[in-house]
Amino acid sequence: MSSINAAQKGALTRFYRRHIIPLARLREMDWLERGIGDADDTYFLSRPCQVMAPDDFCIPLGDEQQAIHALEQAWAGTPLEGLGRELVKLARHFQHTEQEATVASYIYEMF
Amino acid sequence: MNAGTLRSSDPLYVLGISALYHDAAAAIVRNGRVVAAAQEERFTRRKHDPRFPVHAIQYCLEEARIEPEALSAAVFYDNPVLSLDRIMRTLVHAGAGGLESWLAAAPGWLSRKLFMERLIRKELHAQVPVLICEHHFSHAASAFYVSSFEEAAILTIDGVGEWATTALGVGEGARVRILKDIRFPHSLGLLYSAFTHFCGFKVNSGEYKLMGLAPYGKPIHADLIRQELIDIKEDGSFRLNMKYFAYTHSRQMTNEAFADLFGGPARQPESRIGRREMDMAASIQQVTEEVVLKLARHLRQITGKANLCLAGGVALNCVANGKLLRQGIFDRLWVQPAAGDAGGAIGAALMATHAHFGLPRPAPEPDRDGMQGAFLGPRFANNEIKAFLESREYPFIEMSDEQRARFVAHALNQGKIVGYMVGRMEFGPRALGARSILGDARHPGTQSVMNLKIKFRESFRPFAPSVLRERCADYFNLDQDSPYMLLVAPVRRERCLPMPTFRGDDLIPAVNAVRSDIPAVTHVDYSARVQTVDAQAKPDYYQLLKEFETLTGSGVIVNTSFNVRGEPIVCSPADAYRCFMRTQMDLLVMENCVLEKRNQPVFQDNAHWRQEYVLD
Repeated sequence: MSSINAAQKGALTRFYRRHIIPLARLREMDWLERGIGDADDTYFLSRPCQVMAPDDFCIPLGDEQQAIHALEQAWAGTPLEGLGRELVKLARHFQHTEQEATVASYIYEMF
Repeated sequence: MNAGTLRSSDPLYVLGISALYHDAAAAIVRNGRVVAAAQEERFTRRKHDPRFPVHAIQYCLEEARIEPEALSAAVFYDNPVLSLDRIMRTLVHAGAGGLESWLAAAPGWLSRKLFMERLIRKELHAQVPVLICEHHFSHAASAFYVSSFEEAAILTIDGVGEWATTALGVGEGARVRILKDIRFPHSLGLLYSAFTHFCGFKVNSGEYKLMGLAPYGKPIHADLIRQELIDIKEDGSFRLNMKYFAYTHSRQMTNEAFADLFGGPARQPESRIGRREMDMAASIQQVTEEVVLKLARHLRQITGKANLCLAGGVALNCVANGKLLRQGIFDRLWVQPAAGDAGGAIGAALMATHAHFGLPRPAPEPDRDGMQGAFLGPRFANNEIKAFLESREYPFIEMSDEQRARFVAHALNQGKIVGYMVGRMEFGPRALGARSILGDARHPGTQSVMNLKIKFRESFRPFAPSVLRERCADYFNLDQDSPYMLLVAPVRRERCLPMPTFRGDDLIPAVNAVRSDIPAVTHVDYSARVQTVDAQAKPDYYQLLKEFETLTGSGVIVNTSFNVRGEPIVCSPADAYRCFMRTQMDLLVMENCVLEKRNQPVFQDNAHWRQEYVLD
């Protein structure tokens, strides 16, 4: 977690209302469903790729263009397409945020 | 960046980094061997410090005696693109209710995680190649590559990493594969954390307390958990019933339906622990063990491997590990001692070494893993310690190694409590004899004295024994190496004493009952979390135990981490001295310098020093 000022909070709230809430209204989507189990008697999911190839380690995230490219590649053809560019634009408000030294005590840090 | 950019004569240095969620850490690997590893919290003195581990990285580079420019790569242990995909989809799933989670998470993502390459180069002040390793590959690599197995099945279970929460894999030589997985929001780690929070303990750290509380209760809710909260298939795969959980759409683990299921609201932190919490702890522990055992059986079946490597936060559940071992599903079991996210730093560095740079895996030594006893942190030379003590005029006696072992053994035999700081600091959550507080396991009062006057923590929490490897089977139903305190085993029946039945929900009579001839380390269910000590991994500590055995006939002592509640384990001489003076320890050993409390000057301290540490 990081501490933010009122302007940053406003920017985040506007982003959420503009980009996340409309997606949430797409009722036909189950956003957390990552596929059903391989068979009726299992909840395991097979992995399309079982190994990490040498190039899989290379995910350039050194600047805005690289971050946009990585996210848009991941979200191409999905309802999230276009969100990468917006996130990177939003990131310009957050170039100097302090890191918090504490971990939440009431929720597993999964975000 | 690939192996072709390196000259074959250059040593391959890879820095692994885990950070920005919990337990930030760094590790450095040279030609596939771990040189150093440390958690950031030990330097910043903030428990579970998640911040980018600048101090730990600095230490690792110093230990390896290189500048950042000499690194072949720095590797982050989690794929930010995959994690952000999961987060954005979770927020969309949550709709308006996800705003609070977004406000909490977004600044960290937008300032740091999304630009991981830029962040790492900025913090290292060097244009090093930056690589990314997937989270469960980091865990799997942390368990397999440093094990002594040429090949093994690999099981990783944690809260969540990217999308996966549980992964089944296999390691063969230099190759690690993940065969299949279970994905968020269905998570055994998050289920256990939900119970941890509901029982009034902190998520991310209190899971260990819940495990320690479990033997006081009865698993009367286990069927309810299976019926309502988790559907477990025969192969160990599972789905949670999200009707009872709030973590996908709020900053809470559970909701009102969960509370209704267990007869009322969550226990408030620091309030009295009741029968309900004990029974809930016992119940979730039983269900967790059931899942782990089923997963292991399935993994054995699909891989055919005789050995199993474990990692991920759930692998720190040493009660489940002990049952896994005793079931004999696999011939041999090895658990990464830094099984949580900190260990991901080692795994990420090793994974890149072998899978990206293509370096062959160093041949494993039979029965000797690559973790060097987990003593991968800083060591302070005797001269440095002397200089520290002399500059502050703290009285001490200097002794040879042999004298020190005898002196400490005598002190323990007299019932004294000893702070012991010798050698390189441990990597991972357990103190293993380098940053430990020691006591006499035979003494009935040791547990309560150490809990209440030294550690300032809950009295129900058990202590662990260090036992001479060759004497382990004399005390416990365990006859194999357990150097990392990650296996729980029963105390031998002939050493146990009958215990009266305690009714009601008062823990104290049960805690104080003498249960065996090593009562300080015998838990309420006659079990112990065993650390075996051999001469090779930690010669000074072995020598101390041998002296104690010569003196008393007992090959067991109490070993707990050198800290007070909420404080990271001590790292430096200053940390150790401060902790020594703030508690009722009698003796402090720092390398060859021995300090007696009664000889120390009055310690000038903040009267409210305990507020420095957020209780865990």
